[in-house]
Amino acid sequence: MEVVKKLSSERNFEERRKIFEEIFKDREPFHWRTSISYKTVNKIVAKGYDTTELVEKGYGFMDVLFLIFQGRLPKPNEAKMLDYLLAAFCEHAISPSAASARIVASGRPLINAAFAAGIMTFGMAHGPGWSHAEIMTEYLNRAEKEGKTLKEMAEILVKEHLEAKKPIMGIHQPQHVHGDPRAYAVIRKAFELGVAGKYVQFQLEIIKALEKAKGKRMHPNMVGAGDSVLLDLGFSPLAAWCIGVLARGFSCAAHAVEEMERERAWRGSFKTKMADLMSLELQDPRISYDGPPDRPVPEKYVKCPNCGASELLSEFKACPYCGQKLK
Amino acid sequence: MNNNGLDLVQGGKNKVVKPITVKRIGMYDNKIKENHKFNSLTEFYQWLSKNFEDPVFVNRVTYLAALRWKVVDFIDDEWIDAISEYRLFEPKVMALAQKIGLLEGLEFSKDKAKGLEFAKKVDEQYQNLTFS
Repeated sequence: MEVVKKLSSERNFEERRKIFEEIFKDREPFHWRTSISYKTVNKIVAKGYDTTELVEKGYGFMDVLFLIFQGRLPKPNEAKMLDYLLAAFCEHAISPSAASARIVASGRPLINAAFAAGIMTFGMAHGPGWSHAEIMTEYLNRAEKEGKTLKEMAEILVKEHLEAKKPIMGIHQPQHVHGDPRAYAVIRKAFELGVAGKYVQFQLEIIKALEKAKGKRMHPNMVGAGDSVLLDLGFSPLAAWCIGVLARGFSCAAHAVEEMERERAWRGSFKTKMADLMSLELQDPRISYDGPPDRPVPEKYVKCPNCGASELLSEFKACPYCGQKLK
Repeated sequence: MNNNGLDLVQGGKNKVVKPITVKRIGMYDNKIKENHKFNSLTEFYQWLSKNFEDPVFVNRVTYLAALRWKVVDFIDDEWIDAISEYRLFEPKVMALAQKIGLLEGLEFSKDKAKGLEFAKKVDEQYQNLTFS
């Protein structure tokens, strides 16, 4: 192995250039690679379109979402559908996401940390989930492979999930027990705008199959409705997840702003008229604590009664300095 | 009077008329099969009750039409797409629905008659059920 005799800082540019060429004789040096966009000193280009030209010609945020995630400009009805969906999904009052954004904001970090915390709550139970899209896609692929109709495959999905005692994603909302007010409106709008495709239809067949199995009416939630629509609009499961999460991010940001502008930091003051979230009264151990009762802390160290050596570990049987037996 | 200035017709004593429009639409072909307009929740309930057998569906849609501007649901491969001007305040409406027995806890009653009783009471007590 060759010993490095000179530090790089001791080599001149020409020497370093030669070594660089030698190293990358067979490989390209690193460079960013993206099909989404590029920029130069005076221009930003997304999928071939100058972004300023796009907005000057009247294209909006929904159009740009289609462009960067799918590489195409949407038809007017598709952009309208996405706008409808994201506007419907954006705000949902106090949910895990908004509550988290507010709690983090109460600690007064940089505000982006607060709304980032809000959207970090999305996953298996709350908000747009990747698993819904994955399950839908998996069963739709199976339907194609096995020559089954959407109705037949929906019945199989419901049967398999109920037998395995697994939740069926996209149905039921813990607060809107009479049906999420947004969900059917979104699905209905997809039909009205002519963008409902196999995902939306499959979602409806799943609801019907579940109603049949359970003998009672079932309702989709916004994951079931919104995610199915996003997939029918051509977004990939991951893209659908991101778009939904980021739409709610605006709401998390609004809650974080309000928290910082209106509420006291820490939310634990004794002086507020309303007992606040972190008030110590709400943590009265008589109602909020069910751990072990108060007890003395055991001595960590013992002292040798003979030589006076301190900080001896309590498990020592004898003093390591004088040999005195210890209790 | 807290009614958001949306009253279209003021009838007899304490009677406030809030229109509800409803369309029956083919679930997959998007074709409008019927289009109706009602002047009260009671009239809307009566139409629902006459056209749909499922009492939970009828009671649920009646209840939601007292609260939401837009009510969408589907039954038998058909969309029910309604626009209601009632927009009442749910905590008050829910208490009424539970008192009548339209809602048993949070579940809708299987007794269709509860829907009629609820709709009549909402029409009578409209002013007391607004957000305030």
